[in-house]
Amino acid sequence: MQQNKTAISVKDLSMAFEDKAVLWDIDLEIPEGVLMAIVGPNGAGKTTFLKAMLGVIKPAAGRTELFGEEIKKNLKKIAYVPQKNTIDWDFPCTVLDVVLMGTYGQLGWIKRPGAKQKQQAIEALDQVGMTLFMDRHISELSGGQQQRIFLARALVQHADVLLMDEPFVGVDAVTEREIIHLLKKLSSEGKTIIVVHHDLQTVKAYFNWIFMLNVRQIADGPVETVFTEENLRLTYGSRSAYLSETI
Amino acid sequence: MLQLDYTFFLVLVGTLFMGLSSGILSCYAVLRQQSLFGDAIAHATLPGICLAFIITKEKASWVLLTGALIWGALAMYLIQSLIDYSRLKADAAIGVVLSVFFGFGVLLLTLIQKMPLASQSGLENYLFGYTAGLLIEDIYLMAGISIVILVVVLSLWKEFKLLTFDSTYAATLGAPIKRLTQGLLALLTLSIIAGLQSVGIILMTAMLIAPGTAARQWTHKFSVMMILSITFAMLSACIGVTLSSMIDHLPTGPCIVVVVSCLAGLSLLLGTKKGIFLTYIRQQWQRRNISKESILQQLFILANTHNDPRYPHEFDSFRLFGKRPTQQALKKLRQEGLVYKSPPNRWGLSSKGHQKALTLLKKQNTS
Amino acid sequence: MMVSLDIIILALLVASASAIPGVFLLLRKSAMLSDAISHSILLGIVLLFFWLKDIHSPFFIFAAALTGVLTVYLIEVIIQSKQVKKDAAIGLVFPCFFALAIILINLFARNVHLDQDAVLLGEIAFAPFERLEVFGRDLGPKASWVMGMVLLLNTSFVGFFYKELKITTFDKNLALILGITPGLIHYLLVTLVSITAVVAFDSVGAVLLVAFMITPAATATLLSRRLLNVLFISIGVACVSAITGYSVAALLDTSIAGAMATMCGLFFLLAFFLSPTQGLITRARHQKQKKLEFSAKLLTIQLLHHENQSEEKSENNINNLLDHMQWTEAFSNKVCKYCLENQWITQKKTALFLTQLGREIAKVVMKKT
Repeated sequence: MQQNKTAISVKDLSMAFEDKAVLWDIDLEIPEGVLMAIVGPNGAGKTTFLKAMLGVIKPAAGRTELFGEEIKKNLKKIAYVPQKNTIDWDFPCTVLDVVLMGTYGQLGWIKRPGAKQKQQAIEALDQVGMTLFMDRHISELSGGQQQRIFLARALVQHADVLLMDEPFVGVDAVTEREIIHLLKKLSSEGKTIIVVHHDLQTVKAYFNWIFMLNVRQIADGPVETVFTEENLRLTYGSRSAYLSETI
Repeated sequence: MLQLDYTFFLVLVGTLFMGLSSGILSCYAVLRQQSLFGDAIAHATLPGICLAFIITKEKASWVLLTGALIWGALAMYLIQSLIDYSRLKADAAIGVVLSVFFGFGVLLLTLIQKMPLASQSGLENYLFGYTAGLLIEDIYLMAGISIVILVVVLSLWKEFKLLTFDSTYAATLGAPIKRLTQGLLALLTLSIIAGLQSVGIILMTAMLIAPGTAARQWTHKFSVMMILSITFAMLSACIGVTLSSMIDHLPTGPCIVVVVSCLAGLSLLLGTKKGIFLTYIRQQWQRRNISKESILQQLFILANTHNDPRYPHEFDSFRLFGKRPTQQALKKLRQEGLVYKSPPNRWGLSSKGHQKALTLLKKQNTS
Repeated sequence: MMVSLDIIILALLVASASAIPGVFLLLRKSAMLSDAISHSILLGIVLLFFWLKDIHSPFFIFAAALTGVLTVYLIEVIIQSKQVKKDAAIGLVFPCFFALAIILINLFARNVHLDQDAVLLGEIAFAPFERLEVFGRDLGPKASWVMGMVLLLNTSFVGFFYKELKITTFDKNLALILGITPGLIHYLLVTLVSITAVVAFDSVGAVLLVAFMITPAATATLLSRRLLNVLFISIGVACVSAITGYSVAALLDTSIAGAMATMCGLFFLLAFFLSPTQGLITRARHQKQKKLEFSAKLLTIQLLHHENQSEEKSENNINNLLDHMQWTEAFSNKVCKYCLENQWITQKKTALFLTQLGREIAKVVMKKT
């Protein structure tokens, strides 16, 4: 795997919430084209890390660069798939409406989505297998279906980097398989994909790069070399029984 | 005695514009769960109105409404600050600002009423609305505000929609969340200013909640909800103004509010997408369908014990499965040709029924 | 002088009686129910007035209070249907009831005691003129006696049901497990609010009741975290607001209720800014301090990382701080100053060196996280 270019570089990133540290001194280089997992226990700062990478929250120290430039200047190249529970599912809109929202970035101010955007949205829905649900109201979807349309919304941005926050929680096995299949395809096409992942058992099967985080940076690099029992112990503390089962 | 004179049309046009602006903002207020924000902002305009009069000694509506706007904006800012910088939750912040600002307004109002030159300054009219006092300048103001709101909302349609639905995602696209939110609240304040002379401070909140709530019950599309909300608000204004000019001593503002609230109530009951009535019917229909399917399956199982798929069983045999089916259900199945009755009270599957039962059981096993 | 003492006493009674249920409404995130109830009971009062034609019957209080309870029940039903969210449900019901009441007053009762302005504003100054006479002895304003009973009622309720109120407010699930019905407590509380509202109506009117119920409670929550303290502080603040409000109103010759509400607000603002634990000023100072400390610790870790390495000279100096940490020059200087004062680092020209103490600090911080 040729990883010469760096997609994201993080330097001395630290975040505080009130007086507690959420992220400490993170130094990271994420190569282009990897399919990377971020793992760590609850409260390890994973979602905060994603938000810092998106430039949505201001760090206490340090900075993040996307393709060598400040994130704010390069937002078009990065797309975000949030956790499912942050939405009000009673909002009056259809599946197509949600995916169309992904085109808002490229449209700029005031302009409305037109036929071209609608076409892009349908293509994105096709990639996630949800075209038939185009006109359904979002409250009628299952957990897996909701996740798919969020992914479609991010895909329609045609970004080079994809950030996903725990996409497999509350999702059925079929959807999970299909999503990871799609992610692998996108990765092979050169997209950089970063996923906050909750299930240690599937790390080796799904990902080729990993970042292990517990407020501090524990380890990062290729899965084969970095995803070791030792590193897991450092990340999760002394839950050895759990650890030996997963490797 | 309905007099279609100049005053009537003036009031009608004015309140229609009020309906336009509150119909628009009602959608956002309801979806963002900021319905009661409007109540607080409306109540907070009272001190603004009073101070404007005290300072300028002018009773002209545009002067008073400017004071209202300033204090409404102040209230909006204060509520947000209380939520952001203290332990207070939204409802508490709203309650504090609403009651204190209004109390202060009452203090000023009473002060004015006791001033020698005040003499029925007409400021109390802002409490419940006073459509009889509307002048053409007021209509221009209301029209102006409503059109500005309409233009801004149409231009920033997708921005406000995304902001309301998923503000975190909007931030990742680079949208200036804070400024958009403030912009929306500013529009809310403006719409309140536009409505003060029609329905007044106390009842303005109804115009910001009822139209949007009513509209939501009939559609799952945001654009349609907006159109319906505006329609309901304007319709209520129409009916309210007409009724109050026909009946003596019937105040316009409260009349409009009662009409729009009834529209909301009716929508809650009858609305096609979320109305209670139709939801209930849909549920009953589903329940009946399921019971018919389970009867077919039960007959199938019973018949299987006899090697003859069409073997009729006593009605009581159904007891084996728990509750016995209703006569209506059996009658329905018979009409559809899926079961037949053998006297006195024995029931069996027809060949068509047998096929259907097989399909049902197959579906169950593979789902 | 007699008259004004009566007014003060009445005001104190209204203030205390309102503050007590107000605390629980606030803590249960139902502050706006007080607004809803105080507006809705007008409809009950008007309807009853048409029926009984006598506003002074004691039956009045309970029947009008019933409207308050029915309002809350209706709101609950609407929320349960899942078609409408909580805030919209509240705002749907009470304006309609209030508007209906206004219409009825205007159509059928224009010349009566139920003046629509008075309804909103009340006028406590007139209350003392209706006195309670028992066996020919003047025992003071009737309103005070009735309000006094309401105060007693509210206090007793909180006294008897303190445990239940506490549990159902802070942990509904625990309440269910312990067999306490949250619903019952909720409706009892709402009933008390309605009764208080009806009785206070004459004195302070609808909206000002909300001021007395919510604002002192809000002030108290900014000053204490313990329920009992919050209750006492609320009553205290409400009473002080009542007295100072009356003074201001007497001075300016203006609405007493309005002045009292304004004073409630002023005390709230004082607490908002100056509260020793929650005040804005304390918070801001606290935050600044925490940020400084946090950044100082970061600096020690950064220095530790690059110590004894080839890039030490370039990394561990003050100019690099600006670049690497993305700190402003002013802030970098502040951080360095802090570290120097605490002897975590030493500085030679632009280069920074960790002291042994600084090294220990860095290691402790790393271990802790």
